Amino acid sequence: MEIIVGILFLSNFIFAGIVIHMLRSDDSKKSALKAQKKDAARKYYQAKVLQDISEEIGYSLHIQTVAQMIVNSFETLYELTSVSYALTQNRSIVLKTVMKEAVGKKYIDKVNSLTLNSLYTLDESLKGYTTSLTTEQAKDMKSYIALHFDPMPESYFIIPLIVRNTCFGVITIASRNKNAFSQEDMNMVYKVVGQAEHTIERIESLIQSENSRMINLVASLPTPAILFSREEGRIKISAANPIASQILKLPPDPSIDDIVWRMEGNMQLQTLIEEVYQGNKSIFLKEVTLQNRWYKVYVNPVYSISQNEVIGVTLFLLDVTLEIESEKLREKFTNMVVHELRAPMSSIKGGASLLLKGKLSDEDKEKMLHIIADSSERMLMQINDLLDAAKLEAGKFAVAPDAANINEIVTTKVQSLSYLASTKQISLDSDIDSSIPVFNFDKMRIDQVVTNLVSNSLKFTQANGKITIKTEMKDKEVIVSVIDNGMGVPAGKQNLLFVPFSQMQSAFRRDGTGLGLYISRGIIESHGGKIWMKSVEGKGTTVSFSLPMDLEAVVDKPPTPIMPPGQRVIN
Amino acid sequence: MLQTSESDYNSVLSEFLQKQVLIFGHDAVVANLQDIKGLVIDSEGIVKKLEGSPQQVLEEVVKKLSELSDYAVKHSLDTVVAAHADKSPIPADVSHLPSMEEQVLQSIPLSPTDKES
Repeated sequence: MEIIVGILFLSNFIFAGIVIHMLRSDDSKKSALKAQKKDAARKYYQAKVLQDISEEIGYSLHIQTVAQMIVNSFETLYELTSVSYALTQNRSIVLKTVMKEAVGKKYIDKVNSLTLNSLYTLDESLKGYTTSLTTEQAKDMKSYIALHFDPMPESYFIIPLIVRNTCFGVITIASRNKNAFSQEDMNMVYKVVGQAEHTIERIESLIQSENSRMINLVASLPTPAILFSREEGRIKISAANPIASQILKLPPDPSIDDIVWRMEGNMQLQTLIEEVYQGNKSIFLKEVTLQNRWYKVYVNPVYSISQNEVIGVTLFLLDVTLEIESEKLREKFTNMVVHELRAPMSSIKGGASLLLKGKLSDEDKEKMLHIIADSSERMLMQINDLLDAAKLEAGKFAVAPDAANINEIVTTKVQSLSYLASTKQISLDSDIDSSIPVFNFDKMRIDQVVTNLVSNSLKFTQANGKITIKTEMKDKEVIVSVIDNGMGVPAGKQNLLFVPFSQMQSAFRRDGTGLGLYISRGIIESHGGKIWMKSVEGKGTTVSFSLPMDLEAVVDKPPTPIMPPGQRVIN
Repeated sequence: MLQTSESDYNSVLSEFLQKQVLIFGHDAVVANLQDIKGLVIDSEGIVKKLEGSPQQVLEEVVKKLSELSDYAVKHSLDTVVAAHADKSPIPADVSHLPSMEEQVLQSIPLSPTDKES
């Protein structure tokens, strides 16, 4: 019996031991689970804060925003009474305390004093800075006013904010309770802030590299360009390329006012740049004239691909001199064409009307028919000139070289224009080199060139003047010159005569479209030759062109398209 | 150059710790130094008890606190050591010896950025 009781007692004892062991084991599992959960929460918090920092840090690295973000993240993590941050900005310290629990003035003064002392210990020079203090109540602030006591910060720790070996502030986390923060919690905050500092440094380095790339890009642009960026809230000039400095005559360290003044304006450039920053859109500012050239001024945002935001603003001066001058020329040309075509058209219309009335004598009828024929011829020539010029511009002008005699063209030309020359009391003759052989060239087009050159000489040579068409052979080239002793062309205007519509710019305006020399140049250059002018004002002009004699290769080929003078066909 | 002695280390350690308490706060400093044997400090960072080699203790303190902010610790150590060196005349015959500052700085582990560079 005693044995049985003993066995039962022993078995109960063992069972109780097993139960106790199991319960203890369960407790330790629970506490391990709790520790794991806490550790996971810490890691999650750490990753979250770092992710927020990476996402939120902007181009100019708004330190206040970063600090505020870190502070906000602490608020949710700890049972704390207050979070303060002191930041250095423009020789001043901004100290802000956010209260999670209601506290009195003594508490706030103490926290402020601890925060500032930390900052001064890190950098003594900050003692000379002015300090602005603000306090803010957290949205979910707990009120302890009814408790009738004025707590003091019993636990606190301070985190320095340091980027690139420069202290830009500190964050103080405090509690009115003793031992409120564990070593693990505190160290995790230091770790997070340390990683945030590295993140900022990396982003700063990325921005610096982007900035220097941007500055190099602006500096190497052939267009005047100025790069602006925002530093400490203000728009500043980051770079002005050499051509912009030269055109705007900027001083070595220019201000925005310098640019405004040089651009002859009183516009609010700073405000406009700010608008481009905010509005993220390009603005056409104005048109300015600088050093006798026209520029359109545009202000454009510069994007950072990595940060997907506007990181700067460029001001471009687009040179539109050519477009404006060309537009003016086209306008003048249209007026000229209308005028030139209207005159012969009026003659034709008037003559035809008189003929239709049937009241003219036979002699007058013949005169009218001659006027109509001459006017039609004049119109046709002008229209042909326009078509040739248009073909040249479009690169669709073609020549058809074939065996021909240049001296024959010259002789025929002298014969056909002698009557016209004699009516103006101008002598027209030729001086030909009879040894020039037959060679390949476009007879019709070269005839057109010679006609044009002689017509010009007839227009600009006075009575009793002399015009000679000369041919000569030099090396493997034939040179044809039309020499007159007319009024000559001023040196500055000579080259202009070979560009389209040049006659309109000339003081020596005569009938015609002003396309003759432009077309002649196109024809000669299409043969591989050159055309040039020598002239002395008041003494006369010689216009010469050369034609290469080795044109066999051209004969076997289809007509060569002519590019506008100065251009060439790229195969 | 400064001839180093235990009293120098004591003095430097005290000044250094007071600065660390000002910078990081008492809670963070005490919590991180609690594992260092033979060192007891009060709420203001004043050394109340120091056992063993002061040099080793200082090295360990620097190592521990550098985990909070490498720059802040290095910067304040520099300041303390420089101020301490100014107070002590440098004997001509020991000028070839490494300074305490050099010894301490050499003992500080490099930060990840230093290692990279």
